[in-house]
Amino acid sequence: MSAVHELSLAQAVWEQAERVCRQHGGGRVVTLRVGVGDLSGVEPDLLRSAFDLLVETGRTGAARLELERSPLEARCESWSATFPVERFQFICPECGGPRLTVLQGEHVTLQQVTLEPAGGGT
Amino acid sequence: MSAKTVSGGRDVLVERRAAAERFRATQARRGTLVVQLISAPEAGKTALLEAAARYWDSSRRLEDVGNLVGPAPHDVGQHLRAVLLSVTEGDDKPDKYPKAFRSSDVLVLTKLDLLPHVPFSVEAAAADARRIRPDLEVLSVNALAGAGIAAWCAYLARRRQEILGAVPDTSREVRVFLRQGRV
Repeated sequence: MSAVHELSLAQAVWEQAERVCRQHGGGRVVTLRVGVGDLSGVEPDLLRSAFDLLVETGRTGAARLELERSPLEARCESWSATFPVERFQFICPECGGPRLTVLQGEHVTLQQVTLEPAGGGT
Repeated sequence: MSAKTVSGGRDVLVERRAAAERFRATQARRGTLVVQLISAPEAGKTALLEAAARYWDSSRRLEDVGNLVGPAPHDVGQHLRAVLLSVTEGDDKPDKYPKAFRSSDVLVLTKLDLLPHVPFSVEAAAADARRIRPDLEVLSVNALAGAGIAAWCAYLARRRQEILGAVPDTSREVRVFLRQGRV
């Protein structure tokens, strides 16, 4: 049902990996490690299936997608402590303060790209 | 040559977010408030829209930009996001779909006239939603009868002033994006 959303996301992931590749002298993307935030609204399984569709088009070569969970983490603005957000309760577990800055877990992020430089190979 | 590893946490939708930001800024300069309504199907987005249009009569232009169906709220360049929850859906929705509530500015409880017939606690739903989004505002409406619509329109007018500030109200326009899906 939501394949369209995940497909465009898979494309965005791939395009960003290609950009990173160009910025580092070109070559070939071997692996992409992507963090899927617990509150990103993205289902890792669907992102994986969407990426498989991209793989079928041949665009991604032999690049391998590694997905990992990116848990929610926030900082309490009252006393600057950092803590994991459990069960989506956006309240500081220590002081009960509601003013938080979410540090991670809300987005899909490209965390690491492994490249094989141009002219390389085994 | 051997493989090399490049690290860094890059938001993959950063360009899309930038495009949404540009749209938001353009609309703000025109004096148009962009509101996104999200809810499960049949929660009453269109009814809320029609009730606001009746309330404002012709003093404001209300434009329904269209309906999106998707799995999660997207930044479409809105200034405000409202999540609708009808009392017939159950008061456990905030816990089940935290993303929709976390990313919304206001919760509009709809179909309030049906409250006597369903096991729905307004207090529990509001409290759960506020644990997810502490500054969430909560409104209740019965759009068919027009109950709560004055407060909804007053909310939009107040937020318009806060968000668009001193921008001249030339367009007198409120643009509304509807979105339904897993909420």
